[in-house]
Amino acid sequence: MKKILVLVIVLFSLQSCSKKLDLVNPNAPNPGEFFKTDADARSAVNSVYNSLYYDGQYHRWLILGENFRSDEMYASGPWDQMTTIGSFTQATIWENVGDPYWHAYMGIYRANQVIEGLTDNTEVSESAKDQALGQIYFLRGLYYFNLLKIYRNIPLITAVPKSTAQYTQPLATPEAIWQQIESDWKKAADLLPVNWPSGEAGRATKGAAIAFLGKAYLWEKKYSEAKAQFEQIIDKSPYTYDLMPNYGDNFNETAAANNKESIFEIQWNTKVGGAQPGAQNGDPNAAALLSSEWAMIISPVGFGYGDGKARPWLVDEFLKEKTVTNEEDPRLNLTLLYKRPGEKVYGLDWATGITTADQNSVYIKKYTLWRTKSGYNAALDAKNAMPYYVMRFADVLLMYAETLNELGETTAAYAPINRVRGRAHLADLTTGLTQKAMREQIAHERVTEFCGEGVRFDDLRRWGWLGDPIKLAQLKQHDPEFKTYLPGREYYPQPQNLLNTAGYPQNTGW
Amino acid sequence: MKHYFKNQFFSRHRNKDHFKRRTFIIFFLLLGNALFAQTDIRGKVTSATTGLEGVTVRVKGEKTATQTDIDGNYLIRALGDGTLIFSYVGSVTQEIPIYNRSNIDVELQLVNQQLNDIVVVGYGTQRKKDLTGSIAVIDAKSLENRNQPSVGQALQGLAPGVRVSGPNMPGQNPRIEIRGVGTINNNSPLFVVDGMYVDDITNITPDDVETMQVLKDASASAIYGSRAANGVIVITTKKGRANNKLNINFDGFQGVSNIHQRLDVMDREQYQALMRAAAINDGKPIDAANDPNSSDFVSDIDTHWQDEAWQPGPFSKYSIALSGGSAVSKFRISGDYNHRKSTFTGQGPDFQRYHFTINTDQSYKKLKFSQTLLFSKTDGFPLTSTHAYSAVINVLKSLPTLGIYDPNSPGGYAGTESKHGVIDLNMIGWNNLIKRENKSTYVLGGFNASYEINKYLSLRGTTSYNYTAQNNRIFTPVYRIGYFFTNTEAKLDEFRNEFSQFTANGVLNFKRDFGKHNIDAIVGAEYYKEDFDFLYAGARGYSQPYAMVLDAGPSGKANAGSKQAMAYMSEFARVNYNYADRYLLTASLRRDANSRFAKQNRVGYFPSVAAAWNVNNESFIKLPEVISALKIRSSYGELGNSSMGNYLYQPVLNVQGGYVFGGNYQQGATVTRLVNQDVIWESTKSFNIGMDLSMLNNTVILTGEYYRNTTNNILFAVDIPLSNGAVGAPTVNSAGMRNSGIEIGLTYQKPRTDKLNFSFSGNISTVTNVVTQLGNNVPIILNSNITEVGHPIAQIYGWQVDRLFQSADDVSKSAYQPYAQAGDIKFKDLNNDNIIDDKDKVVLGNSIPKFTYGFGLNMDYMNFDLYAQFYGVYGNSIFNVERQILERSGRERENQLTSQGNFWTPTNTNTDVPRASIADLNQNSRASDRYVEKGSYLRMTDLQLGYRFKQIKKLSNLRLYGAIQNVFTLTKYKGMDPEISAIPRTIDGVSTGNIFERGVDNGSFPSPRTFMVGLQLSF
Repeated sequence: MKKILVLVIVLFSLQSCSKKLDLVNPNAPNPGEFFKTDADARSAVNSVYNSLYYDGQYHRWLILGENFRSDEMYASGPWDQMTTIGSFTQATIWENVGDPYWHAYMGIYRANQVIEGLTDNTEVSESAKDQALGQIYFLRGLYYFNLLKIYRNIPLITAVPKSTAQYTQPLATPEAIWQQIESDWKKAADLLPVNWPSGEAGRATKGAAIAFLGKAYLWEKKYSEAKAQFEQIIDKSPYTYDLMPNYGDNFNETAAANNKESIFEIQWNTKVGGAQPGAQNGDPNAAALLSSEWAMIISPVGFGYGDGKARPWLVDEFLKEKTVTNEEDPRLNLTLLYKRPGEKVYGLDWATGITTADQNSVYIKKYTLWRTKSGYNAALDAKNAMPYYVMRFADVLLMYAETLNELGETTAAYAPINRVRGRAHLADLTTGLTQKAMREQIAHERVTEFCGEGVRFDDLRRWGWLGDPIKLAQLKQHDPEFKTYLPGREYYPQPQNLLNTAGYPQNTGW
Repeated sequence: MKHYFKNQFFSRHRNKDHFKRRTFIIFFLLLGNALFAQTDIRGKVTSATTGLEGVTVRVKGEKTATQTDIDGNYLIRALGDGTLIFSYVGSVTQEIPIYNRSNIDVELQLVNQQLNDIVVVGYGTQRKKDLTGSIAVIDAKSLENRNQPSVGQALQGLAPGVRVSGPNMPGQNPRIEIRGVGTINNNSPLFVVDGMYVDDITNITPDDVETMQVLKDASASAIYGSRAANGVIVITTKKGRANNKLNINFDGFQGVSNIHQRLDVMDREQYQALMRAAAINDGKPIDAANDPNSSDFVSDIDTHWQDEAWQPGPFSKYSIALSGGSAVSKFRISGDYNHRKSTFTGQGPDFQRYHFTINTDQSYKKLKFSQTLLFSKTDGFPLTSTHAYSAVINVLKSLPTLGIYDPNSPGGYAGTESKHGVIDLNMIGWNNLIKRENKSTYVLGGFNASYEINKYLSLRGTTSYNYTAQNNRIFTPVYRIGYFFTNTEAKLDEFRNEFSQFTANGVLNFKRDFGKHNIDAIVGAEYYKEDFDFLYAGARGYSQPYAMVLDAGPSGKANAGSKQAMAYMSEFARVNYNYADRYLLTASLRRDANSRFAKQNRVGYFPSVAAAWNVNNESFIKLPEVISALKIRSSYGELGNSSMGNYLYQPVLNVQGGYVFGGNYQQGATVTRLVNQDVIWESTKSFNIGMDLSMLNNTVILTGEYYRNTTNNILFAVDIPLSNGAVGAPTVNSAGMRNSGIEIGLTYQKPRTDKLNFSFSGNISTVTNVVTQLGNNVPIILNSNITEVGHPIAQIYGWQVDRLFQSADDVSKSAYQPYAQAGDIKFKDLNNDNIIDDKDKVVLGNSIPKFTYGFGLNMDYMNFDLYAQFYGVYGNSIFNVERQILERSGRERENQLTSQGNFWTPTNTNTDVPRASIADLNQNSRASDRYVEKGSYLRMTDLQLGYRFKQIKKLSNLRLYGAIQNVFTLTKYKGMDPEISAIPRTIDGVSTGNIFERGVDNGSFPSPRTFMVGLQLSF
């Protein structure tokens, strides 16, 4: 009997070493030991920028949505996830609907972690905290701004969920989101420095926060507040923003990055990062290629995917005016690619480079490497380090002009417009435009200045053109994709995930 | 008085008692020998050439009796003019006069040996008649007859309550479900091979299997506690026999597999005509390839992709086994080679396996040892696909206007160009160009020792170690399969996984009879640990001729790696109590602690209790003559499940997401995943009531049971709102499910005769599945499925077709469908709100069959033998994605079924095929009842005919056989194959093929029809 007892004891003594079950994840550091140093705060902030690289953000879907839905571009590839964006017929389950939402909130989740990690934190220095929080507020405001203009009905989340019960939050009113955006960008403007050392170029600056706050006010039709913001950074010390002497300098891979015209831009780079295509859908991965897919998407078949083309009316828009030396608007050749004498496509003659079916197609040149790369598949390898502008100074000038015009100060609006025109060697505008005519003029100026930069659809929404039957008819003429536009569809549908998990009502029009 | 004495002091007085009895026997024997000239009689009792253990051998009219040993040998003393009586439950008792012989071999005619079979239960064995739980036994013969490379596929249709559905691709494990869908998580049962946990049963060859038991209810499986909620399949491998001779068995077959299924898709002209009509309808230019006025018009190509893609796949197997042994040492060594060549043009699916096992047993006094070594090496080329669809669908929808080869294109394969207007994957090119090689080496080593402490107590310890090393390589050459599928830089990606499982357990067994009371109890403990190591390395920039190793890649060197570990510790106990073979009682308890849970939630207790009543042994009940045995049994218990990822309760910092500033990358750090520390064990409450009825002298055995399994706290990463911005979703205990059903099994075995022998076995099972809880109870709606509380999982879901719109006026008078035109489908406005939207979607069918059934026939006549096996399912619906792609009037410009040529036009209105359209703005091809079909089928899975030659010299067995698999299928299903399996795929960026998308045929790999001939030899 004793023997048996001993055996039983031996058997069960195995169990005493229950530490064998305390297996710690060996694959990543423990966040409990984080936010202890200034370097920690800095890494945490970098991760909030990182979400900008995601597929639903500036890697692909956000840019695609901004460009394809306008009358500037249309989806020419066969993939329905792309074709349905421009025709306002997306399905709620698709990643083109879900990813821009998810990846913007990914940035917000990360931003909220930083805010909570630095609150009541005595280990990180005050200056590091200010720098960190300034950038966090700027980015959070940007993520919310993108969400609001794409989806309109979204929840307001400013804290990290502490329990499963907090995973689902109610929808906030668009007004509440606007308030948050204003508040975040105001805080950012207070905390951020005017400049960063060159090694830190690309981080959000005080000027950027002010410019974006101005843009928010413009959207909200708070024109005098908008005016006040823009005036702070136009030709006022310590800000040194100015137009680049040559328009093309902004879209030149070697010269473009962080120039004096840049307010805020996405920093792409092909020399760092990994080799995998950048379309991330999960945890960030160091092997990801830090480059946008945009150039591949818009380059003609044979050079890229040819998934997005430009509408021909744009060419006419550029040809409406000649420069002071009676030449073609220099921006045309830097923006559009189409059949005309001497046109080359990645170094090849148009006639041979472009398939027969596409001979009459118009393409966007901007953001592609048409000047430096040549031959077939030139864009396909996805390596393009050209920055993508979220805002550049020309936009500040034209938004300022728009603000002035809306405030009835139409005469004051000429100067900033002429400054943009002047860079394109166009003559100053003839004076005497009515406020209404000035609106049309600004619309023209914005198309020729920003064509292919994803601002047009924002403009159409801001100006309410989609609700104006005459303007809508014009849009349909420019871009037949508008024929399937239905009221309400200037916003995306709620992604299926939100319908399922949060029970949100579907957006109107869908 | 004596009993009382024994019970109270059994341990102390055991030896004395033993001594007394032995002395008495010896005295009696000596006396007998002196007076009546008794002699030793030896012999062997066999049944169908194998030795029979536990046969009672008595001398007629005497009290002398013995039992045969494990190999059927016996030794008894009797008078030369006496008679021996051989009796064995399930056989006809035989009386054989001795006639002064000293060696008497007997072959017993077993009518049905099932009842007395020794059944392997968790950490022990039991006689089948002593069972209280629900256990289905599958013998070696049934498995061997299937001629499958691994035991998974071979199980189909053989046992009630066990559903096997395949990917039908060699080398891949089929989906095995016991008693329905018990959980949202992994539904695979636990496999225990000779007491060792084995995760991947592709490495277990049917030739090595002696018996296989499926433990279905809590009574049977609760001893495995936390791992048993999906049922347990216990496999016992063949061992050597103590027959002092060397047995050699050889089995080899060769055959050929054919994917014979074809769908009637359009040829070039039909396709081009449809595309032209679609383009004109949409007001779009006709794609050049389809436009006779274009210089790019395709007129000289008309590819029949199905005929080009499918090819006969030869296969072969050779296995050899050597076995033998003596009283102290036994061995069995076996090896086999399997090769299944691709049935698809190109590399995959190709499967090759080398397999080798050694089983040895030794005994030394009270000690017994056994060792197992299993080595298995597989080389395979999988068939993979890309571009959202399975290989099958990619083949079906490929354009007839696209050629297969293009010598001018890098890689040599043609692909779609802009003239085709569509991106279509040339599957043949893909399957040839991308060199995927999956290699795997598997080693299982086990050691088992048992020590008989005394007559009642024994101790057994088992340790085992499984090790799997996988090396998967993907070499992507420079290629251009059309403008979309291009690769300009050759690259190699190499993935290595190491997976090991260590188990150690000790079990103390107590077994004793107290008169009519029998007790068989165990108590034990177990430690288990698994480790997983992942390594990736890649390189690019290879130039031709390719040297497909990492060193040869000049650039893009990349690597990654990670580690995982999981451990648990358990204690368990079980008591079986048997009163006079009438009343049986089993109770068990297991305590499991698992590293996957946070410390405070780590431990789970899993009890079970069961009772059975052998009615036929009851003296006060007189059963009718026809009934030979009747048992009624019932059980209740709780089982657990911890199937979720490791470390999930631990938040981690991701340090890979950085950003570029000033041209330099700066590291980022953030938490990307939400964690939930409150996760506890998923648990299943399992109730079972059953009956085993043997009739007509045990020739007919009928088993019937009812079960109800209720699973709560299912570990489920419930989708959380994207607004959390998290990657993935934390696992929470947030779902519940109930499965109930009836299982009936029937076997009939005609008493053996010399000429004609015959046996039949059939089974039928029902499953009723209800989801009782689901996250926050918001239904999970996928492309064509809905899972909601109160209903079965993954019901087919979508719109209902009313008819086609016949005119613009018709459209305007109907419920609002934004883009509808004449010729589009009018969907039913089921909620009468005058708009067709998501609210009009309804349940269109159940993905779970009402019942599944299988039956088989074994017959031999003279030297011929015949085997036939059938399997069927009834009452389920399938959402046929194959037809959704192939019947959509030209949407996306893919090839279509010929029936789509009859599309609606203003002049062709008497049709149900919508108008041709590439854009399909009305979404005529949305998930609707158009594509929902009955999934019932009955398949003759196996037909085998054998001929056994008369004994030729030393050959004890020579048999030739031929077999056909998948002989025929009776079904109304219009897709390739109604036996669908969940192939994960991505539709438009949403991954599918998960548990909530059951019943969807995403282009499952169809079951091939195979023909084979084989040879079996034994020495």
